[in-house]
Amino acid sequence: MNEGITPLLMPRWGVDMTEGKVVRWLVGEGAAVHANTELVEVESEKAVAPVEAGAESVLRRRIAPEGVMVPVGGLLGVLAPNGVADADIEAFVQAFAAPKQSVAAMPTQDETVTALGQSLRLLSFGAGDPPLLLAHGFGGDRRGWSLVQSELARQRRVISVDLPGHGDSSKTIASASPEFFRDILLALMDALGLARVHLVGHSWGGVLAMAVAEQAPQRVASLTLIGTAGQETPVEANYIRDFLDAARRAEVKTVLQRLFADPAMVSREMVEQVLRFKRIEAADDALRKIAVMSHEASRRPDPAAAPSVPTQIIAGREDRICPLGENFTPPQGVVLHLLDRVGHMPHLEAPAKVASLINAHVSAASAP
Amino acid sequence: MSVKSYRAAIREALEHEMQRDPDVVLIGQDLAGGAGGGGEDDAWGGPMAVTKGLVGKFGRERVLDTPVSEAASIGAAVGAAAAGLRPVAELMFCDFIGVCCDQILNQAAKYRYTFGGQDQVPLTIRTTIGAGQQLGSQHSQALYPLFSYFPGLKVVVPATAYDAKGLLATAIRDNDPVIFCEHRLLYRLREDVPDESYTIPFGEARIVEEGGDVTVVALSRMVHVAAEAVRALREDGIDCDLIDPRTTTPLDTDTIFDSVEATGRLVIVDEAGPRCGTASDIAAIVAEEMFNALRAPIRRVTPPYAPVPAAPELERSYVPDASRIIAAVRSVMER
Repeated sequence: MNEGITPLLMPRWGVDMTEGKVVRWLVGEGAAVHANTELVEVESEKAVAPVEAGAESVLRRRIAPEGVMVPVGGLLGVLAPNGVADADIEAFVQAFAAPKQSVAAMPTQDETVTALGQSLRLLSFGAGDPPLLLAHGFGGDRRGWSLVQSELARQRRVISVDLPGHGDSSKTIASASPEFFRDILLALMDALGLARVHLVGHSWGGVLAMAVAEQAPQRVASLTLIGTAGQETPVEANYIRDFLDAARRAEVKTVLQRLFADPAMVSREMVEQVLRFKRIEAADDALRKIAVMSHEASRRPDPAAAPSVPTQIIAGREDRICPLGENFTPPQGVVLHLLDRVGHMPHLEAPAKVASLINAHVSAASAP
Repeated sequence: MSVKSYRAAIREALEHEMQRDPDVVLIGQDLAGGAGGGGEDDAWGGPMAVTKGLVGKFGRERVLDTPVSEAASIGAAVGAAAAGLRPVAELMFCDFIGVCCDQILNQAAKYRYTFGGQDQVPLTIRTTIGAGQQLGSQHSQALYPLFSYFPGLKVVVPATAYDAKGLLATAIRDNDPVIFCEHRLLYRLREDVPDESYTIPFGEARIVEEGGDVTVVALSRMVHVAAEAVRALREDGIDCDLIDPRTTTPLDTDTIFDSVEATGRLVIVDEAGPRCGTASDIAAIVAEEMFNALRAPIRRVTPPYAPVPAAPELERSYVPDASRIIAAVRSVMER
């Protein structure tokens, strides 16, 4: 009787989030909704953002009133097509209990692993293999995935790593070449005893993920590339130069704003975090070497080349750093998701959407 | 990254800079320990135990004990800096500046200027400030405004372990004399601090909180007291910007101006006294430059114009606390 009934749940944005406040409903009961219709605005300690429908349906019930706090995984509302009887929806609501394995109770582990002589800090979240392995972009770190990691961890283990030179990993890097970072990811998989992973890379991390898939396709169950252009663009080179040269708070803020469709997304905390990272001399040195090597690399793997593993590309329509270009058409078999009102940071700008795209891609790739 | 105390963060900066540059030497009382007698090596690590362990790593050639004469030890450090070394001198209490004023204020501060920029004094003087330990009127002052009076000196007042480490590295690398003021009540404060070497530029304030209703500027330990007040005010619906200038020379007026432009209200919290202090200085600059943005009189929260008392009850009422800051913020909100 629950055919087509989908609960709308309080999302978890960030490892620390345990509850969220319902700010206001954006859609009335009975309204037909699309996958990316924004249903309700939710406020966590770190952000106010809308929760999207995720699929075409009808909003049948608004359960959580505006202004109340709801625990992560708690019921906000119910979606179901018009064909579903009211009584069935009522029964569903009565029977609804927060999932036994609440996300808040999922095992998380912050650990340090050594690979190719480099100390790597990583965060493991959730359970179930093969896991998702998340590779951040140039100048980022594992915390950048915090808004999607918990949603992804509902289905399987999720591992986000600080690449050498970044976050809390070794700042003194043995090499700056893309091949070295590709080998770091493979060595990390070896160190964790992982034969296969679902690989997700953002920007420069996407370039590295493609390199891993090219080198060892048998070890990559699926590939998701976020904000990753095939060839280095002049805009990207300018961004990297300005990012490296930004020394003061105001300069860093201006540079970071170029990453987002909505510049207001750049918070004081984000600027502070980036400044603290950039001011570590060894990190600055590593970034400059990576930038040079990445610039000099004669060839990047081409996301438009026919993939040997199931591949999807997620890109913001307003990405000013790695724009895919108007003429970009993905090859046979590669799915392209272009997100409206999103820039270079889809996993921060549209976390719910990105998490559901990755979950769907991974599920499809895992199907027998 | 690991959790470190303010004291350990300062020690780490000293160690990194000594590794980085062989010209960096430490000069002060009891830094090495045991010199001139049968005492134990590294017995104290200086009067505040900040340099503990460094004599073992760098030897007595670079960690120098001095007699109990600030006139001699600070004078020697100024001379060593003028002669090409990069000394870090320790002045146990800022209150002791009285016996080495000429060395700091007339020699170190004016050397570059006197010689037309042809020479420099790359000296850092670490000193301690602040009341709260019943040390009496001659060991409890916060004299950084005195140093800020003199062009040629740079003045640092770190409030956190993270800032202390990065600002001390900048101080040591700076080619001008820097007075680095450590608040004794902060030595045991602990927070996450990177293990690697990093620097924080002078003249860049830290925005501790963003609120929009009132601008609160606080220095050194007062940043923590003001943060407590700001949290309490938020519960009552008053949202403050809290700004820690981190260095009083150079002073990041841009950050203060930007905030006052938006709030129109300014409260300055300073552990130095009410006359000729940093609070007065900032109030004057803002009144001159931003008068049209102000919607209420500027309020200063400082100790009274009196020596620091030694009696615990009196000392407690002397140093600004959260309730006085809350009252000042409320008073500017009424306008």
